[in-house]
Amino acid sequence: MSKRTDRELVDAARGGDSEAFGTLMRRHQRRIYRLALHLLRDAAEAEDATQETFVRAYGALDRFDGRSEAFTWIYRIAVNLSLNVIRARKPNRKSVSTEDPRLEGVLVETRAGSANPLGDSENRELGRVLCEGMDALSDTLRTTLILVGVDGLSHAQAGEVLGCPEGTVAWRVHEARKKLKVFLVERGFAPQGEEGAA
Amino acid sequence: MNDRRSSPDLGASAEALLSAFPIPERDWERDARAIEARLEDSVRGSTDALLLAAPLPSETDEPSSVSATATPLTNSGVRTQSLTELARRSVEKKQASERQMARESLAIAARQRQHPPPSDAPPPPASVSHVAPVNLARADAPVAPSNHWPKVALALPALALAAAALFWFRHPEPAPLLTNTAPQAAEGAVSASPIAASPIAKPATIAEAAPRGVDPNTLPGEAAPIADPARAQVAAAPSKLGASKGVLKGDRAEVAGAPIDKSLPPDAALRPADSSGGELPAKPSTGAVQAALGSVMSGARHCVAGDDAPSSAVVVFGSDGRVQHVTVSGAAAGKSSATCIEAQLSRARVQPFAAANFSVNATVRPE
Repeated sequence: MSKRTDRELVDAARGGDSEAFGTLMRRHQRRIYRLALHLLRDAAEAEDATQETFVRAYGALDRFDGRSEAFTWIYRIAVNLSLNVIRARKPNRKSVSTEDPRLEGVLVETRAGSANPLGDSENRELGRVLCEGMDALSDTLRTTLILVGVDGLSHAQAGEVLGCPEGTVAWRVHEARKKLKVFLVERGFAPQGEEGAA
Repeated sequence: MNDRRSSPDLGASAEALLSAFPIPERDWERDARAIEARLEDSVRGSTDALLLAAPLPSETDEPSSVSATATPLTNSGVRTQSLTELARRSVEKKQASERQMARESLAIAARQRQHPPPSDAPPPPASVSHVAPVNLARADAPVAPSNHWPKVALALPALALAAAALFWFRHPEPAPLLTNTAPQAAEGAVSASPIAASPIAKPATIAEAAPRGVDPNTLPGEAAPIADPARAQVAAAPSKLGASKGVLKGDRAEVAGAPIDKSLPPDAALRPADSSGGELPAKPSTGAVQAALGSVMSGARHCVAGDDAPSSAVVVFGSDGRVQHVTVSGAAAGKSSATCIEAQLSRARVQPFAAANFSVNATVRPE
């Protein structure tokens, strides 16, 4: 049987095929979790947000109008839920702890892929500074950068998620990267060939 | 899929890390089953519409042109022209060529009056010489019969051309599409036209100068400046049309009492809405404020879901129509939900106004 598209799965789920929604969920589960993890910086909250995203998406299936991709529609729900969590906790939490769950992945990856302990250490440090730099951005710039830079969405897809034109996404990504670059340079991570410029 | 284009380079290592940020492995199947278990209790149609709305406010320094009317980038990174721009240019080009044709026709007609071609027309008899030159004001003057017909035959096309030219000169400059300068452009075209100043031309009015097929009474209101894209969207939203019209009418009524530019028509009905130099209403209308708060209130109510008592918020709008600050009191005060309410209510927007700021009380009741 050929692989069904997201839209076909949504249509089937609307018609009462619960397996179809399960397939759709398994297809996008990791990406939604990664998005939530980067937005929330907390593994438990990211897990809850991922669950909640699919539950809410299922609850709103009849309102999916098909004008956008199904996954960008689910992404939008995930972003909204994550932002609600962030807004609710903002006064209490801001900084990145040493147990940042985003860095867990970086550590596992570098240990498995590199035999150079110094490289591991540098990569870990770069990952930490990169996360700090992203956390220093506004919610708007950070979310846009995560969608485009980390998750690999095109500007058009990110525009669908965020409900803004492609040009706005491009501007936000540019701004976010500009600020992130300054942040990295200030902490000694100048891009190659620009060390002296900093 | 990654769409970086010409964004600043973070360096190879940072780029690699950013674009392939690894996530800690989990038991995804267990997670999926947990979600499926929850789905069994889930009710279709229970999801709040707010979760399906566009998230995130604009950045403070985000160029409004980018968010409102930016033309999309093609895959090659080349910015294309918008359809609006193409349409405007097409209209301008067509009207420019029509005006040029009219000018040329006028020139030909004038030359024919001064130097009638000898080969086409018989030499005018001496008795006809005092009939020329042809003048619109004398068009109904008695002309000697029979032997004057050749001259009249020459004069009639010239008259028709002159009338056509008059018509086109009095036609306004191309009305900009989706812009707020239509009345001014029309007025400029009328005053700049040399024919409009001639004794033959009737006094031009904005109503006459308005584009054909458009009710001139609707123009000033529709052409009121809307600089902020968010406000433009609010103004364009059908559900808020009534409120927007109310605001515009209110603006006009308040502007009527202000000093008016002497170069404009004395009759207020003939002036464009912003003819007093873009003067703003002293404060936003009640309807506009209610509409603005109403659009963000459901989000604020979410923040206090579960609370027993309502919370109050004082929302202060700046003269640019944006919320300057929000002060929360009542049940949510001092809690994280206060921050949530502030964030939600800060998204409200009204039309710009003249006063330094304007505050309004809002009650946020739990859902």
